Amino acid sequence: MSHSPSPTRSLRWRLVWSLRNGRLTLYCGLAIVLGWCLLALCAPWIAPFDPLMQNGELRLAAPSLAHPFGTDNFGRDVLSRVIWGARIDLQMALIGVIFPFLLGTCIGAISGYIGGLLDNACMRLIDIVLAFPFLVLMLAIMAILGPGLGSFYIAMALVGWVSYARLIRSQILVLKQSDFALAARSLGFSHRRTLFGHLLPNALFGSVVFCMSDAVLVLLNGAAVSYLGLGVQPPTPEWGSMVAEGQSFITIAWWICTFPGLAVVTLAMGFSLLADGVAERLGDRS
Amino acid sequence: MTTLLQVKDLHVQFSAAGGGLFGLRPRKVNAVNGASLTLAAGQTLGLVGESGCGKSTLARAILQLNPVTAGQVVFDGIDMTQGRKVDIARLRRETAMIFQDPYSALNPGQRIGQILAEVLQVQRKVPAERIPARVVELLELVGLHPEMAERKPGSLSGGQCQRVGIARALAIEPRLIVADECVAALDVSIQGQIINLLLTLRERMGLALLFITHDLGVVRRLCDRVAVMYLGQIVEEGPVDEVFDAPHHPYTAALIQSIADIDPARRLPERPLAGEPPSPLHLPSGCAFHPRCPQALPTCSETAPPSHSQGARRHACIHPRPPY
Repeated sequence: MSHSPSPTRSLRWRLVWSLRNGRLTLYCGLAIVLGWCLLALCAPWIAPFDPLMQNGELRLAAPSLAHPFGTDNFGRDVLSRVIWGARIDLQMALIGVIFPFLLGTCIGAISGYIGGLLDNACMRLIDIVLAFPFLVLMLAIMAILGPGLGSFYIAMALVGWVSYARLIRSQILVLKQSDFALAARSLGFSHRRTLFGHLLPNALFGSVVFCMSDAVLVLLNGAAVSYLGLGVQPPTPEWGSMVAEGQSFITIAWWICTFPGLAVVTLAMGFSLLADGVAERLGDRS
Repeated sequence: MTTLLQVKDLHVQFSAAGGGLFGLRPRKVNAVNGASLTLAAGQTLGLVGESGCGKSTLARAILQLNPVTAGQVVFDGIDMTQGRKVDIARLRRETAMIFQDPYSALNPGQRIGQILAEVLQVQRKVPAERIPARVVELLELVGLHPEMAERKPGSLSGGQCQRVGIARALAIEPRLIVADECVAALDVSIQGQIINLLLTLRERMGLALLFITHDLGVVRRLCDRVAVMYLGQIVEEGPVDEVFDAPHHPYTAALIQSIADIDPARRLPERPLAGEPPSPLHLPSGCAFHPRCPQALPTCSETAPPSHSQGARRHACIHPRPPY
């Protein structure tokens, strides 16, 4: 076998590849997410038309040079609506992750650190929340609070905190047995300093990675809720509700559903790539 | 010499997973069973014993890091087991601990400088503007370059981490340091350096040191007195030279015989101590050592051994003088 590369060389190549892949993943994810952020920020200047402007003469027009993504059943430009929709969807992903993250981190950290009865109570509460299907519980909360973005965020926080609480709690349980936790106590550090200054920073790694991939779930949930008519209300451009509206015209005007759907897919992919990349980088460090 | 620390008949129990058919019968692990020891100011006491005999638990109980079931820990005239907040705060200001695993004892996310500065800040040892200078002083004291302050524990060697651990203990300006197997995880040359460092620091600062180890050679080098622990009890205590030359307790004798020597002519004992130490879940009746003791008498399994004191020495065995 004179043509096969030597084993050490192929090993080195694999190593170079995996390194490059890790960084590539991070940068691709970052590029996609930042790209969408830029589009959302510059929407007023980039979008060729007003997303709410209806044009009765141009209903269900196929993609053309003037309207690259076509128009919908009210004659609104789909491209402009997709660009404006990025604002709402990014905001949903961001706020929909931050509140569950903060809530879950605090509850999980305190419950794991104090332990005992409080910990038991928290765990049972988490079991109860997890016993319901995620979307059903969210819809129930939103039905009580009434449709709208505000109630979407509240429902997200009330349902989504459980995963973060569990992640953080399990980490804190391990870390509080560690020598440096004992050292902190023997040095006379307060509980607050020990938990928030020493244990929590070392416990966050898993949740930070998880919150990137959770952004994907939040995005899809937001789209699903809007699709069901409980989230963003028309005529505000939002990808999920655009897909829902376009659904009845799918056989005669495929572009109404397809382009917002693709937008969801690309942003979701960006977040997952970012999550993988961040995981790899943080994993390398520790 | 004034007594700094006195441990009287200390018991520490942990609840274990239940026994019985459904795990309903409560079970207790008796980690420390009536250990007593005394440590004078400026003195070094070596605490030796097998793995699992309760050395670390005793150390943590002394520093009130483990709940104490019964007995007293008197530090500087105050019984710490009462758990009054003022007393515990005082204990924290005047004692420090050094750990076995130098890496896991340091918060991996903090820089060395931060680790030391935090102690100084929390315990208000020096005014805030003096903290950086004091950090440099501490690093130099343990033989580290001040530039290390910028590094994180992950980029330091084991020996360097242990020096940081010692610097952190010294930041407290303690009167008592409890070193829990602090050289066991280091290789031999680094062990020597750390022990020499502890020796010089003890001379310079008049520290009392409770040195926990299972390395008897280290005890001989470093300690004034030695306490031998078996299954949660101190079976023999006394000045290092006397105990090593003429052990009174059969367990001490067996430990000393089994010290590995670099001299190949000196053989290890023909019959080393047989068996495993009994489980602390089910303590043997009478003398805890009787199932393994070569000199056991029939009464050893029934009655607890009496305690014999001779000058500075003390041991707990049915034989007042060694029969060997």
